[in-house]
Amino acid sequence: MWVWGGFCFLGAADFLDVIKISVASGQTFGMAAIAVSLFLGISVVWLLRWLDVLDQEPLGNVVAVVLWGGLAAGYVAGYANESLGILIGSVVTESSGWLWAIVAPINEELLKVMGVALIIVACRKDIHGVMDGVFYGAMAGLGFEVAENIYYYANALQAAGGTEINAGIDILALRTYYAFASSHMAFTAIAGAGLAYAATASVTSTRKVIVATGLMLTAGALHSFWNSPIFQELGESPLYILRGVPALLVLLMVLMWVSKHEVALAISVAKKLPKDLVLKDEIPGLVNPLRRIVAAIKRTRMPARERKRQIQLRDAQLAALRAVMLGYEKKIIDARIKAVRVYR
Amino acid sequence: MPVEDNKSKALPIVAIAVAAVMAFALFGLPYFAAGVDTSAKIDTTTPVSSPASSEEQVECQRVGETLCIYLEDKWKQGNVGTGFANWSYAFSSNSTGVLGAGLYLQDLAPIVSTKEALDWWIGQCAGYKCTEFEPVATSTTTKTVTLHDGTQAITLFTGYTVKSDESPDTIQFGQSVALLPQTQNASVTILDLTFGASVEQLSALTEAELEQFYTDIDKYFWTLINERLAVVGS
Repeated sequence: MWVWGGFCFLGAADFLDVIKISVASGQTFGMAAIAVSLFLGISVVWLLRWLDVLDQEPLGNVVAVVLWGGLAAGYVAGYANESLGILIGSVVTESSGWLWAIVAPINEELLKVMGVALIIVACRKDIHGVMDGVFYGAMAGLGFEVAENIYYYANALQAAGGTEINAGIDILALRTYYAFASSHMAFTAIAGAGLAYAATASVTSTRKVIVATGLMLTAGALHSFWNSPIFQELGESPLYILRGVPALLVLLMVLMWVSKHEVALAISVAKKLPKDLVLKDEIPGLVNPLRRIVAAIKRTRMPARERKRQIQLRDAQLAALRAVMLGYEKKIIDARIKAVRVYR
Repeated sequence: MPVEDNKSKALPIVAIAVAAVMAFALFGLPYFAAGVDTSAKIDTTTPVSSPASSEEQVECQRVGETLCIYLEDKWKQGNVGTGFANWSYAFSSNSTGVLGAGLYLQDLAPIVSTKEALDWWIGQCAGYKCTEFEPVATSTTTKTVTLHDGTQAITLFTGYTVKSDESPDTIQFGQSVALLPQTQNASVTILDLTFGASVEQLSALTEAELEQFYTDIDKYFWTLINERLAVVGS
């Protein structure tokens, strides 16, 4: 708590100045872009909560990790990047275009994912599977992304003497519209999956270390690719989005892998329920995102009454699974079991 | 973190590890970085009195065998007008929000007449309020340069255009160049140059004359920067 609070406080004090510059510019477009950035962030939170169907994370945890990413990691990364840039700048020159492709991933991925590590150990009972790591990783990345966008915007305004907003708008629009979900959120979601796997999977320690380290290095490599000069010539072209494609593809693969873990987790929980309550064959349709969408489409063809019953049955089954997994009181579990039987 | 009653036994260890990494990033790295000598070392020998040719500038802008400014590929793509290359390069940047002060002519190519060119130019002077003769428009950009001995320095280019109520018939435009140490806490000004030009005179110039005018200034700028670099190093 003190570690989290202390570094977030330092970051908040610094970030306040950045906000002041942005607000003082009084530029409607800039403010609108910041608002869009926040809106996109909230949309991502909603999407991830939809994916994390088994246990939606407590709001306090979500806020804590977002603040860590935006304030603590963002603040420290500013100093760390500048210093590491100087330290290795004599080996990899800035003019080569690769300096920040090396410096930023090392510092930023490590700093962001530490927010995930903290939440995993501080709120251990809220961490049930790999999906939780993806979720909290994305939240740390979201905080970092939004803070960095606002920082860049303010920095560009300041560099232009506050009189010229085009550069600020360009960089904010570029990062917000073309690359929002494909950068920090994706990187840290991938790294977070590794940490949650290490914390929750019933496998050997060696395997945990390999998976966690591998995903962390993957996140760093994707960040490095994103920062590399390979796509620099694309400038402000919509093709800029290409630099985020590898990260999104890897994230998709991680989510497919995570989905298997979620199904396995749900099956193990279902075993603690009465036999006929949640059938093994039903679980993918409850947990797997693609199967859920397919099931939802199938339901649209059903008569209204049957569709309603199916939805109620699905909700009751999920509620029963959550109640067992989260260790609710017996009377709550019994009530939910009863509900499933009613709708079945 | 908000929840205190469901913490892992590993919390103290992880918290200490996180605090240690954060503290190292915040204090340790800057401490080590402070030991790196990033100051510019400029050889004062053999100052050059004329700017390098365009061909040389594409790869490297040499100043008296002492300073080598690597130009970006963008320069090669013809995005800057002939004759304005150095100026445009000095100002052009995607990341710093350069205003396009007096000699920033990157976007001038499509403009056909001197009058239009001048209007465009004046139009840049204060962003949106040039008709009110707002006094100053400033732009800055930095560039890392590699010196002959392999060390690096940052140059700060500042361009500005001034058109004031007190002298509405004159446009002043200038360029300053400074060397910064990597920490950017201080700077050494190499050059601070201001030109004044009559609006009336500039309006009367033909397109070719206007181009020549800029070219002359361009040469003058590079001549001076060579000399000033030698002075700084002495």
